[in-house]
Amino acid sequence: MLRYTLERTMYMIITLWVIVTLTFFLMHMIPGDPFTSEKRVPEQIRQNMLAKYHLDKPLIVQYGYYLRNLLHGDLGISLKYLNRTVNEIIANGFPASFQIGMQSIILGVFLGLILGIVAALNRNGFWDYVSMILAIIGRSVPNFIIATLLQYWIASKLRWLPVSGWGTFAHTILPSIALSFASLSIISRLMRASMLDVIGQDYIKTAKSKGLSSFEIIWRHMIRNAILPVITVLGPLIAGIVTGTFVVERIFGIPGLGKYFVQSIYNNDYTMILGTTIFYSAILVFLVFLVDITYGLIDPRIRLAKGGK
Amino acid sequence: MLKHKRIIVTLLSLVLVLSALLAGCSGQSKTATSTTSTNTQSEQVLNLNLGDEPPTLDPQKATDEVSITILNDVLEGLVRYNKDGKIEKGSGLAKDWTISEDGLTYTFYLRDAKWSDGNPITAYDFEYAWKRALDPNTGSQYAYQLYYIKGAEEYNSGKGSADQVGVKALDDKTLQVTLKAPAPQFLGLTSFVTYMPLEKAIYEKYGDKVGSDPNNMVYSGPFIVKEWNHEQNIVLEKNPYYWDKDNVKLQTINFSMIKDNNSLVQNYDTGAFDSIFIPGDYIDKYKDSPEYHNYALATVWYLQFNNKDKIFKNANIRKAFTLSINRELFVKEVAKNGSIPAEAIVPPGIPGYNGDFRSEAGPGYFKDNDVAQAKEYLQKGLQELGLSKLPNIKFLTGDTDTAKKYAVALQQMWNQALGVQVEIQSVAFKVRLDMMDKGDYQIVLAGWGADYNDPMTFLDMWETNNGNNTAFYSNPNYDKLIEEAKVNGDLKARNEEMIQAEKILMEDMPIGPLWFQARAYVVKPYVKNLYFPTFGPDWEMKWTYIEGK
Repeated sequence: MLRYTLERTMYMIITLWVIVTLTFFLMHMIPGDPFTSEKRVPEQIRQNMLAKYHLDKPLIVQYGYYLRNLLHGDLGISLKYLNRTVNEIIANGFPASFQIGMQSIILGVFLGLILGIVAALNRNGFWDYVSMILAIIGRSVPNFIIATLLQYWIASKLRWLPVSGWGTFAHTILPSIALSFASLSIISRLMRASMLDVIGQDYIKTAKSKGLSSFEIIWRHMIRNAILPVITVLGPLIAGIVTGTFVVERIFGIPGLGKYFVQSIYNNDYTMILGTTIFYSAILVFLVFLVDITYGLIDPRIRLAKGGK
Repeated sequence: MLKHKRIIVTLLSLVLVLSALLAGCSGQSKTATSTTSTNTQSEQVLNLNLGDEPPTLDPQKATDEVSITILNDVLEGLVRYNKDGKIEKGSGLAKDWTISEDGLTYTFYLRDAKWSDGNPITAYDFEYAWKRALDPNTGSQYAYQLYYIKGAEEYNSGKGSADQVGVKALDDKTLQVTLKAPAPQFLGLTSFVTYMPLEKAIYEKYGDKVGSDPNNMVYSGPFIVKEWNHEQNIVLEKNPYYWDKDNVKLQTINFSMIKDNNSLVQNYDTGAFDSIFIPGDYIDKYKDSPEYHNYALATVWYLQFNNKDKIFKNANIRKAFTLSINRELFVKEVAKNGSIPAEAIVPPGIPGYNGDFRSEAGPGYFKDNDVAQAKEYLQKGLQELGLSKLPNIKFLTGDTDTAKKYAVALQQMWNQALGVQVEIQSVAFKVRLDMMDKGDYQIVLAGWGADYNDPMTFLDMWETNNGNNTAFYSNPNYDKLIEEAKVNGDLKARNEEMIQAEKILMEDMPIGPLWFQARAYVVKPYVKNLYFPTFGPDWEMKWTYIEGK
């Protein structure tokens, strides 16, 4: 198990290095530089600025600098926000993205599981249709539409919650709900299918014939077995939501990291492109790693097949 | 059914409680923003939207509108534009000044004023800040705004030294500036952020971190930065050390950073903002409201032709494309924000010799929507080029919704008037700039806003070797007039030269003017004296107050 973990850690580091290298050279192929603007500046000033931020050196030297600083955990100074470091910006922006993302995941998973269970138990009944309608909405309506509708009705018309902004719990409710629909729909559909699968199993019949109460059958035999496949999708789902909050953050004016991730590319803000890409890649790679380890723990066959002894 | 309802309610409350617990764990305790509307009768609080995070509050490095807007509130230079956008003696930190006969030497006499840390503001703080902007190691993008000063360009390009720069503090209260040529716009420029003073001790303490945090700055303007939560809000408070604090009535300004247009509008409707600039798609919603206003910016939008292109090297073709646009219709039905059709380059409101440059030079050089004339030019142009029919033309534009909408409207007008097929190339901002620099385009929609309050800011960019001349226009007569005007101490003759230059430009038509930009906004009736300058900061708030809220 230890060897398996070590091996996976090595792969993780190599994956990140490949991402850094590819991103570094690809982003320098984007036309323009961080300092091009509608108003052109005299060439000498451009040179002063490039020199100040070491962009006048050959690309391979810049790459060397970057890797060296990266090993020290230094992601450099943003080339748009000229006196803030990328580390500061990530530390400042990520907590908000993380909070919204996690709240929406908890909401989505919790409601998704319940809807899935209830739907399976009432197959083709009222709750099955409710769950299906919610799932279709969640899958087909983009979260920014849901966000805009919530903002218009709940905040602007009914004035129950603030339109936008950040700072109190009330500010987080609408964005969390808007973001939760996607995970809610995935989880509820998955849980329903998984429950139906379990319901048909022989051991459920056995449990019934033993005379167990239906609560006990559902709780101990059905849900426990049916929830396993749901847990395995959680890793990618969390990563997707925590890193994919850009549009909803924009609508609700949340000081998250999403904007920097997207805008850095338009701004040719090289250090910011690299910093956010590395940061998000690390989260993704780590969550995939966690899921793999969990697989290994749950199912020894996977560990063996991958060479762990 | 009732049972179902109860289950839902129970579940929802459970989930919310759970989320609340989680939120509690993450330690968010910052102040609430953009929902502050529980003010008492005459509380002097103004709530506005900044739209974005200021990239930096370092005055010598700031270049964008957002940073400039904040810096104009918290810093003050030698002069400050007054309510009518004019300069008067004593409006800023200089209480008086003299200008030498030849227009080259300016001597500024500073008033007694203090930094927000209580230290006196001296002439040395100005000398220090200006030389810092010019120091090549500072890497200041707007250093060229100081190139009017003798020796400035040399120092900034590493060919001269700081001592050779023509700015010198003679004593604590006297600043002497020597220009390399007479420049009537220089006085106005000293209100610009690059010219703001800096307390040496503060810079030496924080270095490149100056302006990254409210605590890394001292202030010389009407307000100070009280709070700055990145991507969230900025709170300004009245500066108790400001020399003219008796005329500052606002106690607090709350700036939010909402980027989404729909959120912006809803925040105004719910009263969270006291004034907003109306996004294009929402003009109709407010147009008939008494809270609706608009004003002209010192910005001109034009078709920029690639004068090296095999088609658009021909002046008659350029004229045909310019004249066939129906500007009146465009501003009314497409732009919808009160913009004014442009048949010249320099926008109204820019001063000439005695009054407005536009009224001295004449309103325009051609007729709007002159399709008959345009067709004639087209025929003439085709003949000169030896073509029987125009090939398909490429029109480069940005990738925003507005840019695309504008491009489609122009495309249709050309098609109707000239029967020409125009293909729209819509690309990202920096890609567009790159294509313009490389001359990899035929026509591009471009705009130019004033850097300073003088016609020259719209004219000298079309000189042959100017970096901004991506139309690749070249006319020796034009270059000569501009170079002469730049050093002419006789302001009347200088103005005449600029009028001649604009005339040549419209004769050759390397660019085809389309409209002078206006901006529409709504403001609540209880906001008084909120001014909207035509260039530079978005608002001037020194004299603003709240009454009858």
